[in-house]
Formats: sequence, structure tokens, C-alpha cells
Amino acid sequence: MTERVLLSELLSRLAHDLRAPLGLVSGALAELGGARTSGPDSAAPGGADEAQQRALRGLAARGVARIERLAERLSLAAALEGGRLTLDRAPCDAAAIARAGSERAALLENRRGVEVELLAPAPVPLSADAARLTFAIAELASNAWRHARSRVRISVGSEEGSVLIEVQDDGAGVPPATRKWLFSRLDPEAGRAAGNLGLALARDLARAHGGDVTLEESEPTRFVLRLPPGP
Amino acid sequence: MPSVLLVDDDEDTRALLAIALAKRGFEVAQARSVADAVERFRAWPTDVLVIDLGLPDGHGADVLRLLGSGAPPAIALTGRDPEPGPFRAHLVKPVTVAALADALRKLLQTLD
Repeated sequence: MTERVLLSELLSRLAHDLRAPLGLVSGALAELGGARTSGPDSAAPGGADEAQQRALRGLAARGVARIERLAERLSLAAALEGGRLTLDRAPCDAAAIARAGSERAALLENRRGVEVELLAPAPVPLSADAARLTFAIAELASNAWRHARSRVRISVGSEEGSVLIEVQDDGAGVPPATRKWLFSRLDPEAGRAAGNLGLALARDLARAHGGDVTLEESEPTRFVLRLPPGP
Repeated sequence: MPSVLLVDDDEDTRALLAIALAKRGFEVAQARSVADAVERFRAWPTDVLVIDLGLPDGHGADVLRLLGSGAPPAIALTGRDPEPGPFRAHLVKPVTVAALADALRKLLQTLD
């Protein structure tokens, strides 16, 4: 794949990733305001009732949050590619980080009927950049939310001196053809930018901390984030 | 009042389109999968179906196949170029409310 083709694919993917949340924001705002929308449709009629207005505001907010996540992903990817990633390490609690990551994912994904179970019975100390690690957990949890049938389970513990955060869903699993490139930002076989940027960043952030993210089971899907122990 | 069943596994997309279509005078039901759509349509048949082709438990066309001769006309929502199939119209995602409302009106006119 030439650089020009790769650049074209990346830009195309960016445009695609932006369109969905932008469509959500602009659509919700148009319905909220009764604003005229583009295209052959007449003006969106006003008069959304209170429940509709609340729902539309929520949709717009989630669209904005997804655009912000995309910007953060791109910023992180640029820092990683350029070797400019910095970590602000400090003593923290893996259980609290898992909870924060799960809550962040819940704001971004809107899946009614999916229950999230967080198993973090006690604080698990570690030395990490809590914000970066929360981002990584949120990416794993978002991925699980999107693919779950009805349940996501996030558990925090320790094993042989390492801190373990497991994220499991009860979805259809990871297809064999996808597993090889699951953590890639690009899919070399397909010749296009079709990897999973969120998972790739989660793994890269774990590795920056001296740990890793691995796919431990593919049917159902279970990711494990391992980190060195705390101070 | 014309009725439509929206079939899409993206809850935000479904919620936005459902509110927008309700404001434009449609009765709207929602489903998130092939199985859910078939069950809901059998319980509450609608004039039209709007179906995302990529559903978690199958292809959007499976809904029409499972409903058989009782299936109403349907509009497909697709992330790619339109493909041959049993749909009366294709809209490429992300779909605007304006485009969907226009396609529904045109389709309903053919049923009058």
C-alpha cells in the first residue's frame, strides 16, 4: 500500500467516523429547534414534548461526547506515533479507574438492555497515569458494550504480582479473520485502515505503563489488561 | 396515520429517527434485531419497514424473508453502495431525517 493510498484511506475513515456523531448532533438540534433541515424535507416541525426534548438533548450530548472521544483518540495516536506520549504517574487505585472507565463508556454507548457488572471488591493499588488508564478501560468497555447481547462484566484483581482488569461480554465473539489484526490501527490484509483504533490505543497505553492488553478468550470475548503492581 | 417499524441496532439513530418521524405524523415502532423485528411486526403490523442492513443477528433482508408474503414494502439503510434486494429504496448512512421522511412519503404515495 503506497503512502498516498494509506493517507486516502485514513482520511476516508476519519470522515466516516465523524459523520455518524455529527449526524446525531445536527439531527437532534434540528428537531429540538424545529430548524429547517437540508434536503427536500420541509422544516422539522416544532413542538417536541418535554420527554422528546430531554431525549434529543441527550442524543446531542452523546454525539458531542463521541466527537470529543474521536479527537482524543487522534491526539493520542499522534503522540504515540511521534514518540511524544507522556505519562503522569502517581499512586492510584485500579478499582476506581475501572469504575471511572466503565462510567465513561456508559455515557458514550447507549445500549438499553445491557447490564454492566463491576467486580471490584477492594482497592487495588498501582502506579499509573489514571487519566490515560481510564481512557484505556473506557475503550475496552465501549467495545464490550457494543458487542454484548445482554451483559458486560468488568473485574479487577491481582495475580502473581500483576494488576489484572478483565472486560468480558456475552456477544458473538471475535471472528477468526478479525483476531489477527484486532489491535492494529490498519488492516494490512484488507489493504485499508480497518483496524480497531480504540483497542489499539488501549493496548498501546497499557504497554506504555509496562503492561499489556490481550484477547484471552474470543467466544465469548474476554480482554485482559495487565499492569505492573503499585508502590 | 401511516405507521413504520424502524429496525436498527444503534439505539441513538433509532431514537432520533423515531422522534423525528413521530413529529411528522407517523406512528413509529422500533426493533433492534432481525428476531425482534419479526416478533414486533407480527404483534403490530406497520405500513412500511425501515431496516438497517447490518443487524447483530443477520442481514436486514432476513426480516423480509422471514415475514414472507406478509411483508410490507421496506426501505434499506446501508453503510455501503445499494445492493440488489427486496427493498423499494436504499438510503446510505448516516441518514438524515429529511431524506428518510422524503423516501417514506414517496413510498407511501405508491401505496395509495
